[in-house]
Amino acid sequence: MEEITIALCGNPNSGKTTVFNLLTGSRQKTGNWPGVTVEKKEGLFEKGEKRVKVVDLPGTYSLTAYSIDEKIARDFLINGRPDRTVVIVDSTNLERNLYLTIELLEMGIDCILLLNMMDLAEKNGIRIDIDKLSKALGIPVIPAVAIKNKGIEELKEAIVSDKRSTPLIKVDYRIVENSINKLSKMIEEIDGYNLPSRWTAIKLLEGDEQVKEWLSNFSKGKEVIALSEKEILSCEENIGEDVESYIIERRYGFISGLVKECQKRISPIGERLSISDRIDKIVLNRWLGIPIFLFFMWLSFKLVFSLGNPIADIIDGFFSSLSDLTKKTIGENWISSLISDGIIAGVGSVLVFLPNIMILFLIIGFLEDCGYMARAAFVMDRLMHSLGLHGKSFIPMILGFGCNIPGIMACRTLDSEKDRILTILINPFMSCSARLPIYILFAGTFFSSHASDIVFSMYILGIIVAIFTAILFKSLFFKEEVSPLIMELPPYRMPTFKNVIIQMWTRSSLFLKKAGTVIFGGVILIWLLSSMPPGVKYASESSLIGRFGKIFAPIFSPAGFGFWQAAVALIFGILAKEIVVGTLGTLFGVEEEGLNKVLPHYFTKLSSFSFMVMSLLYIPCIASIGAIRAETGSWKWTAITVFWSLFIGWTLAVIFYQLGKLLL
Amino acid sequence: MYRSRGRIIGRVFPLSFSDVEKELEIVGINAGKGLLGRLARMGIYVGTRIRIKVISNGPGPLIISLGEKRIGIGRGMSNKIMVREV
Repeated sequence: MEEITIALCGNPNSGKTTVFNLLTGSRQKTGNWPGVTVEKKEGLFEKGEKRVKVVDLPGTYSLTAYSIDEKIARDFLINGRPDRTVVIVDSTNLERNLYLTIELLEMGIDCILLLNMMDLAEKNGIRIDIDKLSKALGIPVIPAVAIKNKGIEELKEAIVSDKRSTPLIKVDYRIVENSINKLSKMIEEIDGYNLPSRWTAIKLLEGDEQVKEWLSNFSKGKEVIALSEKEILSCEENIGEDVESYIIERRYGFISGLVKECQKRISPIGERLSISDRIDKIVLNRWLGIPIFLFFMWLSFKLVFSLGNPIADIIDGFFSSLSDLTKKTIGENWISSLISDGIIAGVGSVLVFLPNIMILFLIIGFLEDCGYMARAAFVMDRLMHSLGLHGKSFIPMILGFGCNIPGIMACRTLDSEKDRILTILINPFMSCSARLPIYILFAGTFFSSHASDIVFSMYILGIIVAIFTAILFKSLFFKEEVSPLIMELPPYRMPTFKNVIIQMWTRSSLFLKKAGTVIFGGVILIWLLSSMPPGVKYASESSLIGRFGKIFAPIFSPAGFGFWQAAVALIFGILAKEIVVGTLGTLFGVEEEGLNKVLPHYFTKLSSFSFMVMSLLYIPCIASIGAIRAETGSWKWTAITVFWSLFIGWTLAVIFYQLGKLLL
Repeated sequence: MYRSRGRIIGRVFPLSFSDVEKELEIVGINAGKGLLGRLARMGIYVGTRIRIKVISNGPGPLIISLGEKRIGIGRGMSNKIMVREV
């Protein structure tokens, strides 16, 4: 079977990921905000005699890359040499979306143009003449409605078809044409340089750093670069403005002419947009914006609790009877202890929180998909700016509530390296769903009537520490000004049920997978250490784990939980934060009575609060530490986050406990 | 009065000072080369017609329309884009 590789590219929000899912059937998250795909993703489909590898690229406006996600897209298009490239455009906005297409065609890339969201375009009174557009560009053009699975079969046909297209277009750059010709003649003479010469010349005049870097590998290339710099100066004298802007304007001019030919507008503006604008007037209002945001957050936590807890109780009941059953059938020996005290008590006490976590992911998915998430970044921009952060930093922070790893990855959408690193470093303070079980357990046990408020306060505390850290690090390490915020705001839409559910499931199943692997392994290890040396009373002070925990316990006494079980829970919690609860479950060997009956023997109201504070802030989990190392590319920043979070976590836990003791 | 490419074009003010729903033309952007290119690629350059749709926290963050696209512009940036009414 012949195998070909195709790339999917397009502007942010044009529906690439949705098309990718339809082509490959893979479960991928899509959201209604720019920058969902921050890494290229691969999938496969078969059609006729061909096996097609599909690479979904991050959204990009052009072939000049600014942020890391844009660089990934561009590098693949230029150096990955896909056999074919599918450009997906939003038909409601042809004029703005065709820019990338034109750049690809200028490079001579064999493209297929997919006009997505045709139904919305028609609703908005836009008629596009497909044949005319296809002829003008010299490439196949396919109308589609990806969310309704229309046009995808036609796309597959076009992808596997053997007909190659040769793009015909040539943008006239008028005043700079002379310089383009001069440069491209020189570029043609460079041996071994195989990118199109005219395209390279244009990119040089646009001041593209990457192209310069490629050229500088050739001795003649350096001459070309020197000449291009001279040409830029002489052109700028001629046109009286920045050459880069001039070239871009000419390209848009070309597109505007093309769109006039191929598109008719029947009614002036879409209804969807005017509704969207009206919602924005309220949601982004200067007085209401932040309160509305906070209300949504508060509502989310209320829902996580009131809907999740009743189901959680049922699961809890299930595990206790399972544990009883094991003891009855196997009898009291080490196997039944391993199963009931170790696995069921440990993994079970974590799995109990699955409903809460699923609801949390459902809400995050909903907010992303409907378009509010992008607005939240915008609402917070002013506040973020005064803290030395970028408005866009806000989206990774909110994602961190689900899990810090996607949050850290999402920082790739930030253009400035310094903004990006700073946002990565504060992300672990955003309380992820793995920490939620700890709060639900402790707040539920000790603050039953105010449980959800106490949990909400943990999230707020996390945000405050993140902000404080940002201000501190900004003044210590990143003294530069924050880069300005410009971001596309997609129109609001009703999230599709399927999309939100798939997303929730993809994310929650990670939690389940963790329960089956890291957490499972963790609790077995803890059970083993609790049962050794042989003959020792299970999970007693003289067991191995008791001795180990006792070394560290004194460190935590100023915070009110200076007993060895807490120390063990926190230390093993670094493997995965869920293990904190799992460890407590295993150590306290919960059988008939639930953890919430045992905990009051060890914790007071106050020390349970300081324990939550510690769990929230101390050292990120191993996986997050790995993500921080990978994304910052520096051990220095990784070490700084680990030590700083341990320091601030311990300090605040102590402060809360000691102050509380004085005041209460 | 203000000149742009040799033409006299009337009263010019920063985007942040403008009202909602007026048709505006961009006559200048006070930004470095890199930022200029970045804006231009999103379709924001001298000569573009835009409209303010929502002012979030004036003078400051606002949403402009560019064709059917909505673009959120932060506080600092909206002071740097110079416009005139059409």
